[in-house]
Amino acid sequence: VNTDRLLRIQDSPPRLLVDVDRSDLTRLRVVLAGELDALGAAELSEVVVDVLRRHRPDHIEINLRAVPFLDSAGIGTLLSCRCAAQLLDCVLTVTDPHPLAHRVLRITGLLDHLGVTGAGVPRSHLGGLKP
Amino acid sequence: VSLETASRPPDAADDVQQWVLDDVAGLRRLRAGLFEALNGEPMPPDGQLDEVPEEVAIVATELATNAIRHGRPPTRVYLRRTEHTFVLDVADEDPDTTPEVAGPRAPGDGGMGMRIATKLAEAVGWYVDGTSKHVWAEFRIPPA
Repeated sequence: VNTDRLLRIQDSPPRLLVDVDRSDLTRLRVVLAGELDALGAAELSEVVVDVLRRHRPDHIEINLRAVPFLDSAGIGTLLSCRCAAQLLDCVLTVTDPHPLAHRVLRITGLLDHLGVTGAGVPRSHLGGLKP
Repeated sequence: VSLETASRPPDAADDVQQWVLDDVAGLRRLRAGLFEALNGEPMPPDGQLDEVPEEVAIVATELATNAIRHGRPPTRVYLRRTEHTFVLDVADEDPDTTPEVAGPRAPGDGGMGMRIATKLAEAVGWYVDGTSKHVWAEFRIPPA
């Protein structure tokens, strides 16, 4: 799914899609697509609390590959989800952020704190958009 | 840290579009409107939009969220442009409080949003006009 196009052409405002990959119950992957704003953040928070309770994983990965929009409200929730996980001896990290999300995390000095791995490559380097 | 001095945005900018927001529920519609407006704007021959709409969307959200949470209604968002720049101007009716910029790792308040805004935009400033406080952000159209 090309989220950028989706954001630009949809008639109704887009929302956040949250998908939980339970193939490894010790290391759950929460894959997000869309806008991680204040509204999306509430959704994410609910899902993280639910999987923490249900599965008690050692690790939760939040995949932000398809999240070109991340604001301070979204960041606040990533941080509070990380704290909630920590209380249950679970490590929560951010993986594969969209270049824009990566920039926002770098600007706010949170790349290390959120254990960010992967991506962050400018979109123009991924090919397809520039001639 | 306060944004250092009250300053005006570039003078010669033309109006593109404006929005009025009552609450944070309007932010998604604002962003959809900004994407549509920016994608409909002609580019200079040596320029391209690139990631400008995404940057504008994030900064607009941060400035408007601050205005809604810490200012007085209504919140007005103006999009203006010159040949090579877009200017976002977010106004509320509270001229007495000045915008604050947080250091790194200070989540959860308006300061973090302003920090993001000052780093994503080319320039950010604020000024008072009558009964309104305006915070503006300028974005340069990148070279093609």
